[in-house]
Amino acid sequence: MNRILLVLLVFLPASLMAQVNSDITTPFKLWLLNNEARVFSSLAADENLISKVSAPFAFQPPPIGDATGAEESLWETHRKIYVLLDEAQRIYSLARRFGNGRFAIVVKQARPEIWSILPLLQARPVVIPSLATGYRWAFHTTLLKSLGLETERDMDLSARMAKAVKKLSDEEFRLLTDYFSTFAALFPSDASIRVLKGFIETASKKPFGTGLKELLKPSGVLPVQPAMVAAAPAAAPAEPEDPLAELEKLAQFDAGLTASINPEAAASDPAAISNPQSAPTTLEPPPPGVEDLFTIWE
Amino acid sequence: MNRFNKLLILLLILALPGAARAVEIKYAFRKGATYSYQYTQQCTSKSSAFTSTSTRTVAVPATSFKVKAIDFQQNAFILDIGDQNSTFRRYIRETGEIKGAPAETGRGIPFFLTFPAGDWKISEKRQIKKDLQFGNLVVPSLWNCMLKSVDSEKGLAEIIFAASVKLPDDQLRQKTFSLKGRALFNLPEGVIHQADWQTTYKFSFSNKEFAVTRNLWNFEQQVSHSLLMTGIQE
Repeated sequence: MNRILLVLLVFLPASLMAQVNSDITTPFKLWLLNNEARVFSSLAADENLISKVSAPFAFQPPPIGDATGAEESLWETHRKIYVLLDEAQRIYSLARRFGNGRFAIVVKQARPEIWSILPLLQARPVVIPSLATGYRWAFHTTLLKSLGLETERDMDLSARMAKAVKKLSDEEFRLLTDYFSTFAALFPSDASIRVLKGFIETASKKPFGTGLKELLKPSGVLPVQPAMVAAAPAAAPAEPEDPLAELEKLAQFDAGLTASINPEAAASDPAAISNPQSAPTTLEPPPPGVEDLFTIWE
Repeated sequence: MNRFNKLLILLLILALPGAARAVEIKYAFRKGATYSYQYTQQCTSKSSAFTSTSTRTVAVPATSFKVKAIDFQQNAFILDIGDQNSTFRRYIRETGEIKGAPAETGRGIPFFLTFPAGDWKISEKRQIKKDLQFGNLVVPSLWNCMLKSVDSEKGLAEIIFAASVKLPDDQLRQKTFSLKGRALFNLPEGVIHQADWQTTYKFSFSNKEFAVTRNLWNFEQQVSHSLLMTGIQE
């Protein structure tokens, strides 16, 4: 019991810290929401008081509700801003979690679908290719789903960010920038606003978090060196469905060898066709002050 | 005729026109009569945040309502006010002061404009004060009105009025509210014939942290109201 508590005490603050570090929108969003709440309250109270004198004569019916004011368009803009902030936060978190590509490497190394087929290597090698393909796709699909990733949406985070920013008009974006400046002036010690402002202004203009692409691709497209494929044993033909071939690829990857795409593998894999120039995953150093969650394989 | 008598006559001559220009403004709803009114409202509002500004003008469709005089009891008219869909009852004194509103029990009765009892001289100003209760807050408010002119031929008296409410504000929430208007009172019928008034509300909201103050949002709303009597049915 004490050991469990100790583990919790050691790891919980670290994970919380990581969460806080990657949360760049909450302070600003709360500030805007709180200001809105204050104004809603003031407007409602004032409207109530004003209604007491806005009908001067006692024979008049109670005043009908005033028409909706121009402030509604301001709240509408704010709602758009909240959507953008949420999207920016999601993209930022994705980039922080998977952008360096290390998680993709861990997953491609683990390859549980290969290990699950290995017992059949001696008994029924004939069924291995068909089973391996199905397992591979099922594992990859489930993994992406459990991580909340979508290949089409997350392949290019910069484009996703640009799409989110485009939902604001120029005037609305200018208003958001003014809010950022005001927030920064009011709370100069809050660093999150500088990160948020910089991220929203630049993320849509240049690519980032490219390591995520490796995670989004199915494992079958890992680069393979032709020489190594040729050297594979006869019982395990060098096909993408072959678990041994997959293991070789992984071993080759571990050894840091450069490889080209296997034409056969590319032909059988639609993701590979759409990304014929997929380069080997490279590791980026973790951002300063952030604990590297994927040190287990190093 | 001595000098004193001459002076007395002169004073009487001077005083006579003034006395003629004083009228009694009081409601005189006739029992059993129905007074029809049309009410229109137009709202123009503006909100701004930094360089971003939006304006909206909305005209509320004209509505009609009827005032049915039921009786006059204990110095108050018993009136049923409303339309086909809803009616509520009010007891109103001749001066316009509300005596009771049984259909509005539990709701705060609005602060209405009232006329002075007895004669009201032209250009004579009148002020009515009341503290409006809003939660734990006491909000001072007042009506200013003045009899501007009397048209004896048409039987109309022109009254100008203004209301002021001190809305609760502070350094970060600056607010102003004003109401200005004009009413024509039908002297022979003892009812308001026409009234037009405009309310203006301004609200400026700022943020302050330590020594830094930033204006954030400004709201402005102008509502034009118009009331016109469209008929009297016995």
